[in-house]
Amino acid sequence: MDVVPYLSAVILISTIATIFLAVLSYAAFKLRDRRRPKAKKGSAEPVYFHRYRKRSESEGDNAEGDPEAPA
Amino acid sequence: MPAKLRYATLLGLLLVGITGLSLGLYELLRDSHFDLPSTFVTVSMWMLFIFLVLLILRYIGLLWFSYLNHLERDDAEPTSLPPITILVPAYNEGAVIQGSIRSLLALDYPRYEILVIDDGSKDDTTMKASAYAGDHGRATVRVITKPNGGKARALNTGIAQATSEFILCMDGDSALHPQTLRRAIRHFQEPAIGAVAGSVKVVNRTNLLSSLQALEYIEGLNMVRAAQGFFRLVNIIPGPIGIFRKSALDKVGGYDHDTFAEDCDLTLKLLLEGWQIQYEPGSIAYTEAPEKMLDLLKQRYRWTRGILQAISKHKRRLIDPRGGIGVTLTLWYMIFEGIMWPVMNVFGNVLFVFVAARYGTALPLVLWWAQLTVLDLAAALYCVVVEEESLLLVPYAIFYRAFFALTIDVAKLFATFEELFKLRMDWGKLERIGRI
Repeated sequence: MDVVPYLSAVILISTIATIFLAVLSYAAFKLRDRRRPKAKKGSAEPVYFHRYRKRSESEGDNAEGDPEAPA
Repeated sequence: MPAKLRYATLLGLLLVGITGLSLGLYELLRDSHFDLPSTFVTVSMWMLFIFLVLLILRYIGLLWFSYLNHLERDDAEPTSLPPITILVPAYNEGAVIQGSIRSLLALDYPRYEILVIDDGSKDDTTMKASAYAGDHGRATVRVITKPNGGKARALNTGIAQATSEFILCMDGDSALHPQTLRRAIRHFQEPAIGAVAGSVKVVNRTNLLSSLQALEYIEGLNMVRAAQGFFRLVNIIPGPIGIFRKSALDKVGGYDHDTFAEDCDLTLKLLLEGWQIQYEPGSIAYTEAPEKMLDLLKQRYRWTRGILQAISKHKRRLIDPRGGIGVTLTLWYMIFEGIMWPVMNVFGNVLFVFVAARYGTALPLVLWWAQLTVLDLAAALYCVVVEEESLLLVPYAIFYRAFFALTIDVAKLFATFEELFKLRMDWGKLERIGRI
């Protein structure tokens, strides 16, 4: 039995479907991304919830401070 | 039979298989007496044929050099085990952060520090991480909070705070194999090694999409790194696991935040500074892969644009090999993988569909798919055996080319156009499932 015609049909259909779905998925991804609420400027306040320090470290040691945090 | 001989036999059989099947497919095309109908189709077919030959050489080259790198592996214990700092940047990783820390506390290493950098999370990441803060015998856990500023800034904060000469950077949603540190640290006995890229594996193999990614990580990413590792020229140290010499990071100024692929950018900076980068398959990070198509596209969109930004940042080196010919070739290889391959794959599929519709034969499409699938199957089989992965992943290579790779390549193509036209983009944080 010659399987090439059947294989051809399967591959052709799956390729067309994949290209179609890939373009559709990308459009859906962009649409969803656009509709996602954007963060308001200034809303991301720093949360210094807890900063762990080794017991052996002196109180005045600021070695764990964030070098990029605003003064 | 010793493992190395077993792998050599497997590699030999696969190379013979690839060659034989490729020649068979070529003969099938010749025997079909397929008449090339127009100049455009003829030129396009020849272009795709040349590209296919390049791809065959790529696969054979990668298999061969990853095997040579494997032969060079030295499984002996390292002579010293210096302290290591593990950086865990976390932004809204509340669902997975405790699992990550638990996996880190189980590492088999005598002395290390875990530094969680909370990047201004809005969820309970800090609270959950802080529950583990303190001394745990061999390991110490510290938690730092900082205003939200992105992963690159979070990692730079951690690098500045790290107390060890060796630093492991990972993602907050990843878990590490217990032997990770021991396996990686031995490479630093060579003073020229500035960093070691680990192996990333997908932990959530729960559906077709994530299982295909599990195969892709092993075959598409780890095999490439293993081959590049032979030349000490790994081009992307993956975000979930990279081990660095702190002095190397200091020398290149740590992570920049002007691209969306800061890991790729940092790797290129290290290579351009003359550092060598090796791959270690025994240093494993387990990560969650997207389980939904749109999340996967979001991830690949960022990867594609980020890598293109990193290449663009160092584009002068494409024509100026003074930073080392190896780095220049690496950049060209990245263009081949990042731009040329997706373009040719999408073009090839669209052209062959057109040929089928216009001239009534899908044979070129079938042969195109068959050739790529033969290469994928051979690479998958080799990688699964060498990385001691599940053989059940190998059959996924059949669906990989027909469905997965084409979908991703279409997204890459769109992302490339958007990058060319400099369309706005943001990080697009992925939802964590919490399987770690």
